[in-house]
Amino acid sequence: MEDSRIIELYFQRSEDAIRETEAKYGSYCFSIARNILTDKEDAREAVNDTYMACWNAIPPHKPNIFSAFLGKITRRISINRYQAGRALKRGGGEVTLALEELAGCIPSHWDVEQEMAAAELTNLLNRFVRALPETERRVFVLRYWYLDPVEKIAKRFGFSQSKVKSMLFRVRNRLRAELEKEGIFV
Amino acid sequence: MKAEDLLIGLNELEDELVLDARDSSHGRSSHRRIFAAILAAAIAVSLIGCAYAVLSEADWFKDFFSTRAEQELSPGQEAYIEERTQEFIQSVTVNGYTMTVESAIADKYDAYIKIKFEAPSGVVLDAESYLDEIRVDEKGAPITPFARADGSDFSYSGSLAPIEDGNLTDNVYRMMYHLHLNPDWDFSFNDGSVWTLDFHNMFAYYDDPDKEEQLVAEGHWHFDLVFEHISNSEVQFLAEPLPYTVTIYEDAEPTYQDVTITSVKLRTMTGELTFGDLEESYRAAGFAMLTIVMKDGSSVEMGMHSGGSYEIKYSLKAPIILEEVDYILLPDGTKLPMPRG
Repeated sequence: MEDSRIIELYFQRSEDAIRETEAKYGSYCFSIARNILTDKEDAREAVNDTYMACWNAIPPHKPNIFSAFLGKITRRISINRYQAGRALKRGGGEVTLALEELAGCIPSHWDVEQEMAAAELTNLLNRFVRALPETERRVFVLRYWYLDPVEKIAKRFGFSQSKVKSMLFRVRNRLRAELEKEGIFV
Repeated sequence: MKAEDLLIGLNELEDELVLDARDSSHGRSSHRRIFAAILAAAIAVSLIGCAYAVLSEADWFKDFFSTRAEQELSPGQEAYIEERTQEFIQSVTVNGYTMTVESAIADKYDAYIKIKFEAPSGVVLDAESYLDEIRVDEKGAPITPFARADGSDFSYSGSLAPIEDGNLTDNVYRMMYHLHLNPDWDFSFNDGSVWTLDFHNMFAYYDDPDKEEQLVAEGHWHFDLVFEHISNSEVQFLAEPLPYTVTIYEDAEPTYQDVTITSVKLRTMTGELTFGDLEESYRAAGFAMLTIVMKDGSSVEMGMHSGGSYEIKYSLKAPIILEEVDYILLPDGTKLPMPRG
């Protein structure tokens, strides 16, 4: 079913909307949740929460790109669950590794006074990612948005794992420089 | 700031960037160079000969595009498909499983390749059995499924999807490989190049997360393809930049952003639109789907295939004859008439 038709079903408050969403995007949402949450049941619940959040958001919201809209909800809910799970020492998965990698992007002299507003950070990240060369951009998004394992990304692009790792290392260094360049830290 | 803030901040990444990564595959592969010599030898004895416009294959594509566009095709569209459908008589059998590239239709940057996968008699391959789909092994394949035989780098995206073929034989399964070349590179399907398909191991994937993927057939199926009978037609709809206002609605309140459209190109199966800097939300809302209105009053939609900061690339729902186009309809009602001559 076309995305526009599924969104219409949400506007009509038809429960078929969730069934059709699950049929078309269930696997996609589950794969995002599963990368973040190690526990399969947690991932399944995150996907169910995604459908509920989607049901509550549409209407009034009318997403422009439905798959991206769903993916973002799944990712946000899964990261929230990850944070809650970590408090209970149930965390793990790719998100732990990704966080360790991203920690290297934070300028070492960063302090509370240099905190960025969320919107400002979002703008910076969008500008930064958009400006990356195509392959680096895709690899970066697959690793830190989809939380895909390095091995999977390497296979997808026909690269060695070490090549993906070094590519990510260079991009992270550039991101760190970009954060510093914002004048928040010199 | 913590690493977690970065991870959360990335959640609001522009939709197009998120989609682009998800749809991306195999921009380049150094492994191809290793195989180049082998491929060159293989090509010498391989089947590059093709027969064209076999009516049954053309009829099949007519049904396919009619279903995709959700409308009857015009006589001109049907004639175009009959003329451009290319039959490839190429089959490879490995471990009793035969893969056949049956036919294709393409313009410079989009190609649809119809593939038959046949198991030994008695093996059930139908969708009812596999629930979801059969795909190429993405984990173990030593090279990308689609490549140039000369090993040169290029960028493309591809999707392999099961198709309804009306075949009631359990051991036959058909797939459509939709390939979209990035026009920013110097290659197109009509440049006479040899392109390669390499499918390694076929897996069944399931919707049910509890069910693991299942190896259906182990092997390597290799094909060399040369696309011919491809339309070179391309029309630029703008003689000069066009000021445009994109409107989006947030909480039912309209908001606007002005932008300049600098180019609108249309081909028989693809299109491109370029513009000045535009925020992502406006980009998607403003230009994700355009309508091509034909002289007979019918219309064909073209949907965004991929996009960047200043351009959007489209795939048409069905092929068109450019001479039959009346105008392109933009979302605000602006009509871009087909240029004269």
